[in-house]
Amino acid sequence: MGAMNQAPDLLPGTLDLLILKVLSGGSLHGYRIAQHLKAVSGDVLQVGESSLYPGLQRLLLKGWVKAEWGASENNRRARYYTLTAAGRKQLAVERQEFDRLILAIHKVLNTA
Amino acid sequence: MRQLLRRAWYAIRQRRFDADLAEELEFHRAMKQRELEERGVGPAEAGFAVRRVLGSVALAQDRARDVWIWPWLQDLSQDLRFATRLLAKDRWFTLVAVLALGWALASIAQCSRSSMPSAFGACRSIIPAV
Repeated sequence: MGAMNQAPDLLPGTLDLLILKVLSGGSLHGYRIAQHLKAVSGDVLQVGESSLYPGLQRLLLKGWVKAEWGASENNRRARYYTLTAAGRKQLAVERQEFDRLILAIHKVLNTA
Repeated sequence: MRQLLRRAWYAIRQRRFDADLAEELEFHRAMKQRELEERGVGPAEAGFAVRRVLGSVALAQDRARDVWIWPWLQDLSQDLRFATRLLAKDRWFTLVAVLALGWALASIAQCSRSSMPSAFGACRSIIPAV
């Protein structure tokens, strides 16, 4: 539990892509987004709130997600984030860009 | 363009935005505490963990603000607020400074407007250094 909030360094922009991807399955609040990222990545991606919430604000500013208050599982007020149409488009674009980048890195690593 | 509008909207409703973010972060913190308690973490350890979360809450708020308002603009408005407070605190200094500046500027304006030599002579007496 010592380094619970320490996420390994992500490539710049990757967090935005991951948040968009997680939200493509439906609206979630910030805490669930973090939990989801952690669970799906096998505990590798542990996003702290100091990166998660600024990331969400960035997506709000760009109009890729919208936020609405709703009741959480335990009946507290929670802020749910939903992907917008522009966000869905952006997810496809960023995904393609990411794959291209990873492929390029692989190419470099696999040559002498 | 739309982003600029959203930034402006943020600037107008900054209190509301900040309150929303604070509530959201508090929710996050509460959920985390519950998760730790459910996992049977001891109170001391849970206390440390929650404090760690609180620390990053302040950082999260700062960084979130940086997303909406460019940091240099925040610095500028902070400087202006500070200067205004200082001037308001030292009223006599402010009054004298404003009067002196006003008098000097007004007399210079008057001198430069009239091209008559006699008026110029009068100006010399008002501003000896010129």
